[in-house]
Amino acid sequence: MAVFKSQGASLHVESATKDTKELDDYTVENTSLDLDAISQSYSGLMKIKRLIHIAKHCPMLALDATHYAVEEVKSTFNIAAFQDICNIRHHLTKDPKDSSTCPEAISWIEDRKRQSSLILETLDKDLKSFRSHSIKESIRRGYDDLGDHYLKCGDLTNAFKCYSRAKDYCLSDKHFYGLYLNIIVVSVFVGNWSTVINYYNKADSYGIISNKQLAKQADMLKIKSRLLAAVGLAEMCLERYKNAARYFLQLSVDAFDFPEILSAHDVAIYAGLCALATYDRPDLNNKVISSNTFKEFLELEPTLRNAICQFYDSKYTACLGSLRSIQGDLLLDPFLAPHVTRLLGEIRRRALVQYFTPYSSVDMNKMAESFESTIGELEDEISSLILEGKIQGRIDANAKILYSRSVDPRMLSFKHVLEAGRAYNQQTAYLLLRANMMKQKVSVGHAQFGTAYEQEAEYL
Amino acid sequence: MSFDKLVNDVRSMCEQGKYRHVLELFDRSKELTLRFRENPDAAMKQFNPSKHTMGYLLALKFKLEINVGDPEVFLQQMTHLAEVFHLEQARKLVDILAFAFHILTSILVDRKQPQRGLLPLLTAIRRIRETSSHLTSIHADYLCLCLAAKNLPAALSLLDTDILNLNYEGASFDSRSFLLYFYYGGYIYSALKKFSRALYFFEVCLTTPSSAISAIQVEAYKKYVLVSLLLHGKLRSLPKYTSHAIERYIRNITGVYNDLATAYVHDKKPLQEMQIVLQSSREEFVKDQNSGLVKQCFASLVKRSIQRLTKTFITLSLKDLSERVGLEGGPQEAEHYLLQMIEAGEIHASIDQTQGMISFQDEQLIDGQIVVELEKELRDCMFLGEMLKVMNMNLSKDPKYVRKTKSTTSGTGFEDSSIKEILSV
Repeated sequence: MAVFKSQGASLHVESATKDTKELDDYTVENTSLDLDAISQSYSGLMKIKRLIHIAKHCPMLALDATHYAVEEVKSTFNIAAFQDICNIRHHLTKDPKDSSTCPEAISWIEDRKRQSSLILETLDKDLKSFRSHSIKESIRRGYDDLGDHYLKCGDLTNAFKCYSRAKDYCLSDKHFYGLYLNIIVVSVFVGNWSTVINYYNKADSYGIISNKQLAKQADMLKIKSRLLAAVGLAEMCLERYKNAARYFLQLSVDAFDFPEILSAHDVAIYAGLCALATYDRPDLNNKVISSNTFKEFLELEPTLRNAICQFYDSKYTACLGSLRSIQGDLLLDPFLAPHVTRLLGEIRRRALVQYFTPYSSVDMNKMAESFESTIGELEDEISSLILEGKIQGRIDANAKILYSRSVDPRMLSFKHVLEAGRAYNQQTAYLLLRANMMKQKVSVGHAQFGTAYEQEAEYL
Repeated sequence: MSFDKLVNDVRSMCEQGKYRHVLELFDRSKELTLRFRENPDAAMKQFNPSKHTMGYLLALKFKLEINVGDPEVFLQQMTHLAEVFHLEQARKLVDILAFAFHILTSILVDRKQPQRGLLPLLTAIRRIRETSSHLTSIHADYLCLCLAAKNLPAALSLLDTDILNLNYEGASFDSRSFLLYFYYGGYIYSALKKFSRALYFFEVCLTTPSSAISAIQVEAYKKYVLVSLLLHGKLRSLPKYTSHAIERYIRNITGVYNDLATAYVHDKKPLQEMQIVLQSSREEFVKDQNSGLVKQCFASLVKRSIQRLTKTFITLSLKDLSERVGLEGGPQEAEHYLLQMIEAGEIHASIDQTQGMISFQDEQLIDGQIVVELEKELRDCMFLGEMLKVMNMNLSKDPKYVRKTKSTTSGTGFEDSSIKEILSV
């Protein structure tokens, strides 16, 4: 039990520091987000989390977002979140009625605290009686109910603990899947992505992902898609975009229903961006554009679909333009926000590389035009790509032309051979010496550390 | 037994090659040998250093223990000894010989006449070592004299041959003289700007099995950081087989140097970052006598950024170049660096002064030249291959090894024919 406690606590700290790092760094001016749609496509804590994120970063929607958030939070016992939202509102309106210390709010908090502890007591009592009768099924359900309640209170550490304890009382595979999903959901909120991946792998080892027969059952399909979505999200947050795309692309719209964490729109966006940033052209075509299952996701996000098609058709100006138009929306997604700059930057760099591939020389004026940047910036971008070896070319800064460079493979291999040979020789020489050193027992520090150190210091 | 008889016995034993008896005799007759202690110089005169080297060395030991006396006489004795000692006898008492040269070295360094010791030490090393790739504990003293005499080329005659083995000097080879050889060697190579060799020497010094950090290793690490920056443009991490103690603690002791390495690879403005580190810890660099290397690091940073530009550009204006590298002196300073680098063959470029443009050319490798280099490397490689074979052979003949493999594999599965032969005998 103690193990869970400490683990949970450390999880909390980790997410807290991460959040503060990305906070307050930006505000989004124009967005086409629809708060109604958001409040409909998520439930529970995730809805609150997303709304708070929007309220913090988008002044245009902030007030409305807090309205929705308060509405949602009032149906839960999450006092911390309530105070948080009130503070944001108060900051916006300066209206004393909105502050978390106004009598109305305080009475609500008191009321909820009482109710919450009442429920907690009942659940605890129930659990105790189940345990005394040692009915496994009931104990498991008791722990799950307790976990659900803690989640409603926003107490993630205890929720994680309760869900985990149910492990010993699972009787069927289905119970295990339920348990894993519960733990994964909590871990997503905490931001502990390695736990998410860990439990996904555990579920996978039961055969739910690969077993075809199991996968045919409707509810199994649902569980599978939830697991895939969660692990995709985890991979994305760990900056392993290619893996993330691979997981997301296995999903299908029909079976996807995961309001606790993600909406289908999110899946489309995450998968699209990750794929665009990491896949090469043939993969992009086979696995994304002409994939039957994923097509339906992409139809939910027409702008992104256009961007992907434009990228594939080498219309980079249009592609980057489309992406820029949805950048605001992307930044208002709490999971995607820290990765937006990197993903878009990566897509741009890939576009640059692809643009240059067929040419032997390119007029950089034209190139700058199609990428909507100045010559100077383009020069910097290209020179860093050349240094990384992504573009085989050299810049004529006088005439502003980028030439492709042919490398003499014979000379190159000669050079490599020489280098490898030298390194090998040196290593072998040292190997011989070291073997002989061992034989003659050469070793520093047989004496006490202090004395040996001082003696030698004197000598030097 | 009288003193004269002892001397006579030792003489005859030395001449007859009964070396073990000499040592036993000395052990047995402790009281008589006290006479040696009273007047070691007189005792030494009783022996001919070329015929009775063992007796001579044993007498010398007492002299070293008490008082060396007149340094001039000592130097003469050692010079003569180095030229004439009987090889087999000297190897039996090599620890005394090494100790004597060690004392001689410190005396000469103190008297500021290090150059006088170079020849005797080199002669002694050349004679006593088994092959040119064997290390003796006199090596370090010789390098110390070379450094003190500022005669670095003299050291190369030893340094340029790779050390592959250690001379047998008692139960264990003195780790301090081992470390010092590689530290001094790295020091000398870095002074001669042969940085790749220098880095290898420091690396050997740092990867010596250690349960504690020696002060020599601390100094070696400082130089290792600087040389690594000069050679590779970044701090190379130490190899995997580095001892735990070194890996873990050495960074804590050498903070400033780590700061310097971080500044060097700063992606925005390394030059300014370097300046900051330099200004705040100039004294420390001077104290460590590393300021020269630090200055070179600074210059190399500029050169390295220029070299990077040659990879990405065909033409570039001087003004652009100075901005990209971050030179405060503008185009003039850029031109100055370029001229230096073109002259040294570090880049291939030409400057169009009327338009202020530089055009870079690709590096040209010449066919014939590279083949010659390749051949040389191949010869080295073959030599090392031979050495490995010899070592493998020796290992497979080692009784301990044979016993171990025999017990674990229970007599089957031997691939190596040499082991089979031994087992069948």
